[in-house]
Amino acid sequence: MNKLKNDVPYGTLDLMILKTLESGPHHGFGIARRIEEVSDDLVKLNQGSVYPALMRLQQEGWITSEWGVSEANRRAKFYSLTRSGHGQLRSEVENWKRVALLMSRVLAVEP
Amino acid sequence: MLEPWLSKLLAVFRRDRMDAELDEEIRIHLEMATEEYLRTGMSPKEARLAARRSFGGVEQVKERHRDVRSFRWIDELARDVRFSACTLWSVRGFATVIVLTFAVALGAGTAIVSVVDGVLLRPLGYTDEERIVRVRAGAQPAVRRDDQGALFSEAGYWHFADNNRVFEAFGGVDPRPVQIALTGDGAPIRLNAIRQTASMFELLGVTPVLGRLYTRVEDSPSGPDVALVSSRLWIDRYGADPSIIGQTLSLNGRAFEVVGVMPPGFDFPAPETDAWVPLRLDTATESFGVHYIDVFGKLAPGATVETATTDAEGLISRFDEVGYGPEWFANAFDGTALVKPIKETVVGEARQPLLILFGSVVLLLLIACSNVANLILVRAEGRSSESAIRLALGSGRRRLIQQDMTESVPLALIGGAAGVAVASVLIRVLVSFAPASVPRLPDVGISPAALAFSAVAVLAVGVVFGFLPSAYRRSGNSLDVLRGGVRGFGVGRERIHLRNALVVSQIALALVLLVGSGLMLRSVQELRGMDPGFQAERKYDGPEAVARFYDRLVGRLEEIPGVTAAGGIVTLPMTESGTFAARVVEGFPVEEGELLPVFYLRRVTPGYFETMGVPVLEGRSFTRDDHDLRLGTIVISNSVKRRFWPETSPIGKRISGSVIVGVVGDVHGRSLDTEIEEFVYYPMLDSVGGGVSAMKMVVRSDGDPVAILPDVREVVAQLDPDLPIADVSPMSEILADSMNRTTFTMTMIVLATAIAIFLACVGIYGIMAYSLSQRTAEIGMRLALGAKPSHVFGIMMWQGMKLAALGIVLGLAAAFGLGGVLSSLLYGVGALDPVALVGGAALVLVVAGIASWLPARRAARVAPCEAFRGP
Repeated sequence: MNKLKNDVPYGTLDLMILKTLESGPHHGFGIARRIEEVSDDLVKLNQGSVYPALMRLQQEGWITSEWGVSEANRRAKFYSLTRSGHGQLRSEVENWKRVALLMSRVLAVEP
Repeated sequence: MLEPWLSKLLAVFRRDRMDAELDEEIRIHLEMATEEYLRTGMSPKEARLAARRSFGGVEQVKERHRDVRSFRWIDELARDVRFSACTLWSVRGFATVIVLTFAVALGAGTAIVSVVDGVLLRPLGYTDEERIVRVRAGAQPAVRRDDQGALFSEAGYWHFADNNRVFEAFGGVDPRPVQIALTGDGAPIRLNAIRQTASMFELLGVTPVLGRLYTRVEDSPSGPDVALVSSRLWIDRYGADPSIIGQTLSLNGRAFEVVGVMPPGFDFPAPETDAWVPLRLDTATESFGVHYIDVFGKLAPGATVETATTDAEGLISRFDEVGYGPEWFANAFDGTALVKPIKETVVGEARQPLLILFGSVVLLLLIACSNVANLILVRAEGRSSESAIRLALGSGRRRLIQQDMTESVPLALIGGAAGVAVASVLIRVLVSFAPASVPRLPDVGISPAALAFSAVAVLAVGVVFGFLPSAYRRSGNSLDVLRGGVRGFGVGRERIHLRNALVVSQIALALVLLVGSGLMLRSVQELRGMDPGFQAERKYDGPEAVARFYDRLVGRLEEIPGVTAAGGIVTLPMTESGTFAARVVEGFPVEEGELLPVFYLRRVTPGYFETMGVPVLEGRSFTRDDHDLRLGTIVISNSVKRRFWPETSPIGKRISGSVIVGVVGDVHGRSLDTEIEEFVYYPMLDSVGGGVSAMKMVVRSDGDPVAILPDVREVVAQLDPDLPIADVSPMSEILADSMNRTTFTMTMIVLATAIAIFLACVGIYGIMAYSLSQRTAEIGMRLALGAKPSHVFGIMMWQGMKLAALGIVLGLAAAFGLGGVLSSLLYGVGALDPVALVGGAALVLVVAGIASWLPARRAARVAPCEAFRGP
């Protein structure tokens, strides 16, 4: 899918961030790059848009943040999944799979 | 982890820190991104650009971040409040004026409304008081004293009691308080005692807090001497000792047994009543000559004031059964009955002025609102370029309105709070300066209704005025404003018109108010100027004296050095009403169907007329012989002579067997604004009508009355140690006091309008000064182009005065139109009284003149370059 820049709805960006953090803590830049990489650069998001999303996820209690030191010895704010965040990720993934299955069935019906 | 909404709420307070953290994060992000691009071989500059591009809009991210982390509206609100506080502080003069205007207007308004509520509107506290009415008989003009109707005689009372069909309870009161001396248990003091039937208490629905009421059996002519006392007396003098029941009080030398204590606050029928004793009406009486009973009834279920009135009129028409002859119907009763709910009788006189007081309060609030509105509009105009820029930059109109609100609402709230403080102080002041004759005044506090009204009004005003600047903005095109306004001169035509309209309307409104209050002031002035008929200065209304001591007392009083005359009377002028009765006038026989003429009777001691300064117009006044020898002589007032013997002399003629020996000047009996009454004066010990138990003494001194007071007390004490001196006051005070009932409310009207005038003047000055100061730039231009300062000054003055003239014309027109509204309240002045109109216009002109002169002067001195700098 070719998504235009900044066309990623809230829900999907949140999911992508959660998924990214599943593998461990990352800082904001890292998360943005990871998402771009994993989607083979098809998703060109405004990298800055992760920050509002991160704040929202933090308020929901799914991630938490901490100031730390990056691999380049630079100070940065690191985000990581909480336990409920893991749970949320699981249920979101389930949701997507169900939707995808439903859509594929609907779209497969011959007119 | 906190609940999301909670952390959103808290984020409001950690705003700055969160902003800082985000900034830090973004900075780091961009650095990292830049590094990555550098690694791909870009130049530093290119790398930075690329990093920025891939990041997206930094400001937008920050905005969205703020949106997410907190409730947007709280965030905005917090920001607006901070901003408003800052800007208001920078124009704290403006803010203070608004707050003060609110405080004064709202405070005065609340205080006055509270007083009105306490006096007029609050229930009296009797059971079912809407069903309690007072019945009086309508009187013919010849005997009419006021619109209150005539009292009943004993026979009349029983006639009503036995035959009415509308009342489930019935009672009678002698409304004249008997002033009695209470002796024993301490220094003698004077009490007000009221004689009323036992049935009155049941009618009012009051029960004693201690003991019992007196019964109908006790309330008969042969019943025991029993009394009820007030809580106030019980607490003050007897320390709330329950053993007061059964105790004997010595009242005027007679022993009364206290059978009960009335509840606190029970004040029927007048404030400061301390004792109630039986009226002792004789059911077998045939007396219908003397009318002194006030009749009260409680409407039975289903009865109304109208049905009661019809019933009463029916009963009056049957008065012949009581013994009244047809002449009574021709000359005394006019056949109507006046049935009024009890509350109306208590506060009745005060109603009309109080309603006008409402009107003045409304005007006061209007002026205050107009002032504040002007200030706000004026400020909105001053910030119009700022607003235009913000609108152009994309800030929504709603946002601007919200910001206006965060200015106006807090100002209104602070003003309102200050107003409540002002109100409570003002109420205390008003209560302490008012005479006791204004009913129920001491109980007044800030009424909850007034408070609620103030709160709502304040909030409403804050909100409505928050919309004013946006209304103003809507009237102008942003672009025009920017083009014209940013550089500070050349303000648009519309704005000039709006400004001028504000000035003119402010002036017109102020003038209307000034005229109104001027009329009030003139009325009060007219009232005070009326000649009461006797000289009011420097006399003392001395203590009560038991009749048998009176002449000794008069003689002894006259011996006091400094006393030039002494005398006594039952019922001083300007106090209570006294009795009236019919008399046969010699030489004026009454025809069939006519009534005997009715006069007001007074008993006096020798020396009374001299003491009071009432002139003897014909014949002589009483001598000692008239009193001692009971010659059967009388003295009449001039109004009686004018009525019966306008051309001839009345001396030697008889009235009901008594011989006229003199004519004295007329005296206002009750208060200055009732008609002159026809008096027949009897000597003290005349046998007509029985004896008398209490008299008021008057003493004239040639110096300061206060100085002789100790001597007066001494004399009294020597004659009778048990006699209390009470109610000693200079006649001038008594005179003032009688007027106070109506002028109290008038004083409040004057107070309200004085405040309004002050506000109006401040408003006129403010808006004119501002309006002119806005044109400083224009002036600078003129000066720079070579105009002489005096010329510029002239222009500004002229333009200011033109506006003032227009405002005055409009105001006068409005005053003419509204004059009729006030006319029912005025006394002695017409609604178009020239003094008030001219005075009001003159004051406005003066204020407007000053308001034009000062800024014009300042402007003419301004250096041209300064003027260009703009607002």
